[in-house]
Amino acid sequence: MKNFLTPWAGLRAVVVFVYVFMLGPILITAAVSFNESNRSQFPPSGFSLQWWQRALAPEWVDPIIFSFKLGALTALISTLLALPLAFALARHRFKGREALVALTLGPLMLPTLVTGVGLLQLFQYAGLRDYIGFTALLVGHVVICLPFAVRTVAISLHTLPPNVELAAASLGAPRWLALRYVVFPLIKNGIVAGAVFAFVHSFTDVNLSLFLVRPGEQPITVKILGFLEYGFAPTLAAVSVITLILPLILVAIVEKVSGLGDFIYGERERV
Amino acid sequence: MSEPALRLAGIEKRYGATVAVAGVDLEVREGEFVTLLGPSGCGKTTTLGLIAGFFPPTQGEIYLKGRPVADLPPFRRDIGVVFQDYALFPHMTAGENVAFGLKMRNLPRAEIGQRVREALELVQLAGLSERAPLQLSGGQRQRVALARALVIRPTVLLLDEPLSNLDLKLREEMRVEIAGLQRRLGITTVFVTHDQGEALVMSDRIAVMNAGRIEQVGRPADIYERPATRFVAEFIGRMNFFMKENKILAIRPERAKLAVERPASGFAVRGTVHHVLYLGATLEYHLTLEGGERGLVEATNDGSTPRFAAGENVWFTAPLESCFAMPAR
Repeated sequence: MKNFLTPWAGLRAVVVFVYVFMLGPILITAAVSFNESNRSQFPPSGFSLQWWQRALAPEWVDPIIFSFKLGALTALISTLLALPLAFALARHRFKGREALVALTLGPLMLPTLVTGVGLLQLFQYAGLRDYIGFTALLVGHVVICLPFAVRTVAISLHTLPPNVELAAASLGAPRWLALRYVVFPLIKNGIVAGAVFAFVHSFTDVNLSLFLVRPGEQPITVKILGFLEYGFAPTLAAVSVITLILPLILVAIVEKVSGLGDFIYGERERV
Repeated sequence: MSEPALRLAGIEKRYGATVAVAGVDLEVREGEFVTLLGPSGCGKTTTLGLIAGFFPPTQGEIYLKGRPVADLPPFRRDIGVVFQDYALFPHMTAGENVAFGLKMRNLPRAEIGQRVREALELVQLAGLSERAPLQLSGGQRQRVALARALVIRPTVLLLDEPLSNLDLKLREEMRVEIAGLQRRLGITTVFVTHDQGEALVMSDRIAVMNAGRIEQVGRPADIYERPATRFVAEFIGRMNFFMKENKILAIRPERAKLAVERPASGFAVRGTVHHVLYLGATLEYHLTLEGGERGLVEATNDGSTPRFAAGENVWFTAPLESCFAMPAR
């Protein structure tokens, strides 16, 4: 009986707790989406695919595709910006470095809601009202996703074995060949991880997106929130399951291909 | 033989107000093994970095076979470097690591394959070409790093404390092996270490560095038996020092003897045995000498000398040819 008080038992309890409150809602949502009636009922009564049918109509599929495009482009741009930024921050001490750190990582501290309001006002007062919609969303998402991309690339630069670039240079490799054959292959996983983080963060954002949408140009999260104002229908449960599963599948694929998990969990071995 | 393989002419390296290398002149002949020896922070690794071209000197010039190279980037210097942490490329196999420098030189594939094989054989790693660095032991990684630096047939080979990450037994093996390999290939080598034993065993000449300068350059026996400064004398081996007017008199502990009577000639000073260390092959006598100075005598345990015990009054003696004077500074 005293086994209950060991640290391991405590850890097990925490794990169970986390799983119940993380997976529980997902399973309940998934179950509700198969309800026969138009009510959020659990356990579901009857079995029907009608909500799934509705979820796959353009009304829902379009914002999902929109979110995917937005997330993919955000990930691409954030990563392209993050590479030079991370190099500069990780490698060089220069005037204004602190300011650059604050600018790059700042959005992490700021509530995205505030960033969203700010961006909306900026676009309005700067006469860029026409760009509200996809373009404004893209700008906003890059701002809030950049810290993730910079962080992961900077971490992978820091974990680079210290002298490999000098070794490459001494063996006759000019800087760009050293980058291509030595540095890039070693930080590749960090870059991919940063891009995935950026994508997921963009895909799940609602706070910032809320302010920058226009009819026909809104991500799935905003669409879900809007729909919720009228009440709940099992359609929403089906849509939620789709928006949950898609990024998970993406992460799983990337993980399989590039061993992302090693990076995230810091298990990569070093020479 | 006219031009030295490597010549450093008044090189200096400053970082702001900090002086890492404060004017170093050194010539390394073709095929010679020269060691930069000194405590950490003495500027020896910085000097190596300057030769490799990892950063430019603040002042001075570096000549490789008579050609000034201080303005050349490292990838145009043809210098092989073995790093303290080996700096192998972890995403490449041992063979790919060795091949890297040859690929950068755009050599034909067949020649690369041939030379990589030879280089790995040279360091006794034939057959391990496909292994990743992580699958190799510390000693094997060291050999891959050596093969990678040698395969490009560099003008000069630089070794930055390459043995310090190995365990004691392996370190002693690698000392002999690297020195042997260097002599067989006749490759001009600059070796950096803080280990006086390594320096004495491996080098043709040793340059002892302190605070960014070379204090003395010479053959190992010169450095040990005729140290030019107190720093050199203290850094390599152990030494008894006596102040005489404005000079320092120095005597190695193994050249000093203990005696009951004052000898007819030579250096002698009265003292008391403070304690005795029994080391098997040798005995160490730690003395308190007249005037409060401390003395150390290392006696071979060959049965030819009487033993002394703590508390005994003795004479610390040495023949004059074993005493040398150096300027007090």
